Amino acid sequence: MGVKYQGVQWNGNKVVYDLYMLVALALFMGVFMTIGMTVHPSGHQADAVVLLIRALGCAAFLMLTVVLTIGPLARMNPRFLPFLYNRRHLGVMTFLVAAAHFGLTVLWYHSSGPLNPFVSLLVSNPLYASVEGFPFEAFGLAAFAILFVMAATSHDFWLKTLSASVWKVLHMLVYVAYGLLVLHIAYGALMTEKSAVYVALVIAALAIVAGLHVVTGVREWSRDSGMKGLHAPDGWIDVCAPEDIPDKRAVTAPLPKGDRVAVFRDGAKIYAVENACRHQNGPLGEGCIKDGVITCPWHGWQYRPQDGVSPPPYEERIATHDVRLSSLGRVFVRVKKNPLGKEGAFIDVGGAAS
Amino acid sequence: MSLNKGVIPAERDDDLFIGWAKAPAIDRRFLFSAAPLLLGATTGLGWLVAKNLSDPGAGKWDTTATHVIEGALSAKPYPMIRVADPSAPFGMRTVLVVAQGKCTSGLDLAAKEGIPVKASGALIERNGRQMLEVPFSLDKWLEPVFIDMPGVVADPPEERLGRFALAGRIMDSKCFFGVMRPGRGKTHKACAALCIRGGVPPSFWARDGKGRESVLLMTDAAGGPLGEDILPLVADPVSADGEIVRVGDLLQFRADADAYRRV
Amino acid sequence: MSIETAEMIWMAVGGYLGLGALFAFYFVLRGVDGLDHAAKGAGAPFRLLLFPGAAALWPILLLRMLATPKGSAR
Repeated sequence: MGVKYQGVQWNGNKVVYDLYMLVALALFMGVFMTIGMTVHPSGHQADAVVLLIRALGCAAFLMLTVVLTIGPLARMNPRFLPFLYNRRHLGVMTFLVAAAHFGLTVLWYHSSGPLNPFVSLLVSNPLYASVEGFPFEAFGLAAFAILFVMAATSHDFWLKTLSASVWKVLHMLVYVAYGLLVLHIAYGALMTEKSAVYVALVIAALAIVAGLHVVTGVREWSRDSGMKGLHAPDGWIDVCAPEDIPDKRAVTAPLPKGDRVAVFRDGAKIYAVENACRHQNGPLGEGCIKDGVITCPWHGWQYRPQDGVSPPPYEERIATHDVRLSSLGRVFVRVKKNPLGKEGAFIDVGGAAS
Repeated sequence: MSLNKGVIPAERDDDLFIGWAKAPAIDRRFLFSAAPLLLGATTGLGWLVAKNLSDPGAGKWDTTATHVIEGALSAKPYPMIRVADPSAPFGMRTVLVVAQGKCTSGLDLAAKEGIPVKASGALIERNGRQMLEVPFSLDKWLEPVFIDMPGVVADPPEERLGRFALAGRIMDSKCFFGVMRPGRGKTHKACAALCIRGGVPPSFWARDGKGRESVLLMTDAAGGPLGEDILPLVADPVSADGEIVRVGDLLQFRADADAYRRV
Repeated sequence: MSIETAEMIWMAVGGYLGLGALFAFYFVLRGVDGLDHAAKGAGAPFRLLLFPGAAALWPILLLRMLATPKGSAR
């Protein structure tokens, strides 16, 4: 980005988002603590610290579950794009809640004993060689480490410094963290608590997250396979007819080597650019042309369709692809990208496609 | 041939949500109806999860009042004070003594064995079984007193009740008696093992088929304190053959660590 | 896991993060400006947010800094 970094780039939408997030968290914690303290007869009251540890753990798992459903939901229905826009804050908040859970656990269960609390965390539940007795603490600790690295690298500085591909791999570890958390719960809470409700809730969370990812994956795969076999031997592919592209919107097509190209129409002009946003590899082809520039649906990053360069003061660049209209009136896209910053050949269909 | 036209149906020409811009009307309508649903669902989940938590059991830890007892001090096999109580079944009560935190072995009571004392601390109590939580430094809670010690307190009779096979769980008495509620199960295993490592006396929590429970103080086969060999078995369902011995009003379960089997 | 193993693990983690924290102090105050020109003149909140990541990923940042000649920040 060609402008100075800020800590958090606040705007009205993010403030509203964060307020809702905090209200939801406060409601969850408040109801959990109130019910937890009063549900059992007097003399059998739960201890507030143990209850708080549990409430924080449940909240963190719930929040991570929500974080993981937002991506696929936003790809299925654009009404979920607002949830995606500030997902980063939800992720960082998830880490902070997990950190409170971790800190209280170390303090309450592992400190003021004969061992260093962190040593106790690793040795007091010692059955590492056992399948059913494996210490759930280890799973939670590993998941926490992943959440820490993700939260610590959530600023856009890291995306640029680590490179988009390294950053992406790092943040895909969230799925590993989620799996570890499921194990943490299965080996801890689910082996302690008797109610089948907990088993049902964890299975439901896992099924929702996995189900949404499978559904979006299958949709994408079937769309792509509908577009297969289009490339001509001369290095161009037949994508669609000009009228197949809605105005200000795009058609995306898979390229032979696995990347995608987004073919945008802005009135009578048709342009092609690579589909991945420089920011977080957002799907540009699912975005739109707003004020004459391609706008990513995820965080609103923008690129001029002519040369793929962000309008000033920003300096991001994506590659363009050349497009041409075939003699049969089809839109062909050259498979090879243009060098960054180079204007691509475009189609002007005049009044023909409008 | 199917086309990937993004997610926007072509017939709708309203704007996409762009984070830094004002949200389009269709998104605002959606969010206004989704927000109460999401907040409601979050609240409902909090209620559902908390509602189904299992009963932590009886037990209390009263840190607001100072509880004072007088009786005979013993450090064998674990720190305890035997208090004369004519109304109790055996004419006395045994009150276990633990230090604050998880390091009871730091209490140096060897020199005070058998002497009459007055002790003050926080009372921990579960189903009539009492425990006193005290600071590390002896002069803060312990003073010698000159009172008559009936024989049942000074030298309580031992009654050998025979050998039994018991099934149950090994608990750290302090958390189990009321410091942590719930102080049991796998989520509490590490804490229990740490407490027992630190010298908190282990209790055997045996339950029969009718739900009746007995809580027995665990010692090795010779009646001495158990060592660290027991730690991996803490909190898990186990069974063991051992001897039950009544010392005063307190039932001891005497079995070496290697007598315990995971169930 | 033995107590010795656990102590070694935490000593390694602590040593790594301790070195990282030292590096992070330098990095957020000075080093980052040489690595990324968008950081020049950026305020305290940005630098504070960078600290945990710099302490955790310091070997990567150190290599990047060594590979970036003076004055060629992106």
